[in-house]
Amino acid sequence: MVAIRWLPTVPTMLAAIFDLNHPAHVIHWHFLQLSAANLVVIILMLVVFAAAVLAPFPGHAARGGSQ
Amino acid sequence: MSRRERLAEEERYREWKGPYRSYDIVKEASIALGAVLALVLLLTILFSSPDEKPSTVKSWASSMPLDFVTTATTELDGSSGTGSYGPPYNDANGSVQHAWFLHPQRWLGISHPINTAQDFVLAPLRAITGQPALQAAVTAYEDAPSSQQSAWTTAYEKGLAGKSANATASGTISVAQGNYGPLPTMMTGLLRFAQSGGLDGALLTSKQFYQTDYTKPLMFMADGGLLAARAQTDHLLGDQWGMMNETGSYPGQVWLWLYTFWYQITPLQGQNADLLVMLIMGALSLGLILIPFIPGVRDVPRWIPIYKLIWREHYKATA
Amino acid sequence: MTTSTSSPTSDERSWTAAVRSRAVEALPPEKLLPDKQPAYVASWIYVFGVLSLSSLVVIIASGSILALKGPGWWHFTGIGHFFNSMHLWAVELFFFFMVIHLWGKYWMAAWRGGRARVWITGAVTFLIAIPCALTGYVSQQNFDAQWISTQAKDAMNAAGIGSFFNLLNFGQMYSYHVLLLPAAVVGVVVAHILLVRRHGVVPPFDLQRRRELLGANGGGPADDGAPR
Repeated sequence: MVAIRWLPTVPTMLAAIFDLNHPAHVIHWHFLQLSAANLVVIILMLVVFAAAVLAPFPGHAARGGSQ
Repeated sequence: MSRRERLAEEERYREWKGPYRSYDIVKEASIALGAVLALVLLLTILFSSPDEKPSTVKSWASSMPLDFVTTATTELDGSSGTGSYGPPYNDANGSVQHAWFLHPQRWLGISHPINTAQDFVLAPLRAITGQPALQAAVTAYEDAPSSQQSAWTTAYEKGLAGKSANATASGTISVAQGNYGPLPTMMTGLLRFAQSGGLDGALLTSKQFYQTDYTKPLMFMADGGLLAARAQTDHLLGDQWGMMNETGSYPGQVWLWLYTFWYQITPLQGQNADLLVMLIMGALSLGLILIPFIPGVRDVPRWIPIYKLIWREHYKATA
Repeated sequence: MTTSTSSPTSDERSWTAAVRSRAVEALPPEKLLPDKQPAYVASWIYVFGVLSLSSLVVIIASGSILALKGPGWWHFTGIGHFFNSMHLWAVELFFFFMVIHLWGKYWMAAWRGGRARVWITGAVTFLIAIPCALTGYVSQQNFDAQWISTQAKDAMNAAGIGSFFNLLNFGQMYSYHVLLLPAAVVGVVVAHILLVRRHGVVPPFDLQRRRELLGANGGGPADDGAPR
């Protein structure tokens, strides 16, 4: 609480660098409707999953020694 | 795979007897926490978060006065969404759902009673002081037999739906001539009370001074068109897959994709859609929890060997 | 085979001693905080559990700041809005990482070897997180909260849940969101993590053994695709 009070005064609304406060762009495909932001999230999830599975992992060689 | 083979396999996978390598769990957790914190800060600085101001009964009555008056009249005769809902608000059946022998809505009963005529119209009107003509109109309405009350409200609703009907932000209502009894006086009084901001407070503090329960003002507003009009602009309506969406252009609740998907399927649309979707998602959720025990579903990872990619270094080393 | 931590004079019927010895047997310090792991843990997919956990920590930390200042604060100050944004993005990341973690664990069939409870606690965490997020959305005290609560109430009412879980009751929803559901999430997550530490990370499918088995049986489909 004290730490927050000691912060320098900030403007009432800290403006974001990208203002997303406008109606969403919606992608229609057959009966599917997805907002652009949600589509980006879904695509990112698939890409990140694929990358996580496929990307080489450093220090992978077993350095021996049993439990 | 036979049951014996499966049990033998379970035993074999219980403990790893092969090689280990050194690993710093505390360092990994610290790095992960730092990375996530940095990512959250970055997203916050780049995009911030949405905060669309809430609607009030005052803003509704001021921006859509005709819609407000029409809704208030339907609250008076109980034909509104809330008035005809059913449990947990009242014993109507306009929104009561069931599936086969399951009637949970009826079984759990009326736990949040709302008498729309009293709570949304008559009691707030009675709270307005210094307007004897208004109070006389309310008394005239309350003293009339219910058939007369219905006749007045039905006629008034018809009048308000007419082409020449209008209401203003300064509290004037104009409808075609008709036999509306005390309703024009009552509704003008209620409209002006709402436009002044008094109805917001009256709906909230009706039971006690301290209140955190917004059921009444929200149900009243939801019976009208303002919230839905705002929602449509933000692509939040049911047939816009709105359950997944957020106001503005922010990402929403992507994890609700399967919940909202069922509502788009024609066989599931209709009176009992909500209960059917809840039952389906309940069953699928149970299925998710019990995957280890569901034959077929638990075997897909063997049949589609993504695991060979994940453990490719291990398989190379042990080949 | 317990390491004897009880003195020879302690009562055999001591509940404390019994709980302690069972706990230490299940989770000795070197299992609770290991400094080695199986050599097959060599893929980036393995970091998504700890990323989910880290997101949960940031959610709780930012949520605690919001709770400290009360539910109205973030609407009126820049710094409050900043912490609200952190809370929202941490939630998005939590679900993002958690679902990828779920995908990874599914394709590894990570419930093998007596690890069904690990899977179950993970799935239950996901399923509790959803209503926890819902109570958060309806506690925002803005238009989004108004819309979500008035819409979702129909599903709750249809299932009978609405009779004791009123989305339109801000006080109730805020209590669920700040205390009851986060406590449930944290409780199940702790159980999940302790179970992972106890049972270890699931070993890979044993392709060698499968080949031997299938060779010995002389028939049947090679369901792991191993050549014969």
